[in-house]
Amino acid sequence: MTNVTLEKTLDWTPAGSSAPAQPGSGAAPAAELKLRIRGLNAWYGEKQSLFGVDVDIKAREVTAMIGPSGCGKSTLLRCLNRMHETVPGTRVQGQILYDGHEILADSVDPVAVRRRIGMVFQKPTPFPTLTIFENVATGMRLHGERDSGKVQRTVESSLRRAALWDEVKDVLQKPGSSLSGGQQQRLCIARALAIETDVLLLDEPCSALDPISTAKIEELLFELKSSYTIVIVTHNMQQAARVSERTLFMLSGKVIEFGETNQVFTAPAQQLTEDYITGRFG
Amino acid sequence: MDVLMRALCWTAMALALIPLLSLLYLVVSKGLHRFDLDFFIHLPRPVGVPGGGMANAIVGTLTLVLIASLVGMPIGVAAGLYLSEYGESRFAGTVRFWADVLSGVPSIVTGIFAYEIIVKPMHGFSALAGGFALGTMMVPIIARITEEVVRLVPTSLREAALALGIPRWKSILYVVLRTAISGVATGLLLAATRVASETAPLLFTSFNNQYWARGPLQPTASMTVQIFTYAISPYDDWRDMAWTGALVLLLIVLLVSLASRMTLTKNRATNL
Repeated sequence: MTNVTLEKTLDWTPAGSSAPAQPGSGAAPAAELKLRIRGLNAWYGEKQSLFGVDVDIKAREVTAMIGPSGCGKSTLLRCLNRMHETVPGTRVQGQILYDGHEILADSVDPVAVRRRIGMVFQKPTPFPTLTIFENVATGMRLHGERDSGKVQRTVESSLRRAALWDEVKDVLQKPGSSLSGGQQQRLCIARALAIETDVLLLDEPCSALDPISTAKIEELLFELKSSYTIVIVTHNMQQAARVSERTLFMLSGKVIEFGETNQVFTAPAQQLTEDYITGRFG
Repeated sequence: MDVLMRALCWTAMALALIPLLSLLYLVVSKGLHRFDLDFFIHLPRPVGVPGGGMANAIVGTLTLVLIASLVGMPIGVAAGLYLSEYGESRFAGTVRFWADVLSGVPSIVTGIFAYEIIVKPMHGFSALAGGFALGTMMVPIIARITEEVVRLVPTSLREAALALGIPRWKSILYVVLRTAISGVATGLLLAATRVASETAPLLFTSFNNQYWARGPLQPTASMTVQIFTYAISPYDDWRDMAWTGALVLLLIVLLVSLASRMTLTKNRATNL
């Protein structure tokens, strides 16, 4: 399965225009950097929501994005797997390189991007008419997987990786909507892991959950980062401090500060960052 | 004042119920007379011969509704999906407008239309022509109901499907439609019962037949046209049969809409 799709992924022409900027794309730097964002501008209709964002996201780390509401962190996250395109009137300019491949180019199929860069939303969104099993299986089935043994194994391993298997293994045929909010969110994570995802984007995944469910998700992120690259948008600064290696602080569509989480929270380089994390505004 | 208003409303409701209840009473009391096994398993018999039934008309109505569904359901559901999923364009607005116009077209006009494009070229009345006329009537009903129930599927589910790298057309068919499926099914049932009780479009399309139709290209009996034929006849035993036919038709329509209403409420409660 992985081989076939990897080939498909590598088939993306690393966009003719961006090729000169990427001599020998792949190899050394790309192994370390999963996503490279270069000069990214975004607009909703007439209103510009991102201004020249340059950020490198390292592989197998958790990167947290913080900032007040409307600062553009969710927009930036949605650009990373081209989900911004689902909102009519959105326009972007700039480059995002995934393992050295340009993903914003018109020639790249957003469907292929989203198969590698998965997303989990604020509100848990299990498919209500599908069973727990089908919720996880549906992605790979709709991608054309016919081998039911393989589907079975992938569903189990995805649920295990999402730390949900033990809780649902006896109720796999119940509807996904019968689970609790926290379980539903982990089901959504399992669903994203069941396709060939290696980057996981989480848009305030815990804001609708109670503290215990939140703790479980955070624990899960800790487990997952050994094999996945994770980007999480959060309103909760303690959460950012707990789960992430790197923190990105945004304000009014601009990156104010980006660095190691420890440093951002204990010795921020920018006055604005300090004001925000100490609660002087936001 | 409050009491007066309540009394007024109550009276109005009672007045509205009287025709309905008396209709039910009349149909049941007159229809029960011939509501027997013979009615369901025998062909019509000539005047004066006791017994006989409407078996061919019952099967005929089912055949007509089946053909109508084959015509109307795919087109209606596809149109409804188009309206709800791609419905922002001006073209969609036009489609919506014409669907409303089409559902307001008198059914006799639909019958003339089917006569002109199927009966005349094929030189004969047939279940095909009748089914086509009924199917044409189903399309706008199904399209608008489908549009409505599919719109109820939250945007977040569409986003979740797209975020799994599922192409849009697949997410519409396998996630969005599947989420709304019981609502869509209710719409299909309602449309089917609605056309099953039509008479006008069948008069010069499927016509009528006192015997079994041999295949869909033959004139075919239907319960509604048979009831019409019997009801205007001067013979008492035929008029009795008409009442029983009316009762059976009423029961079928009542049962189906009751069942679909129940699945709809159940669906609203659990899913949306």
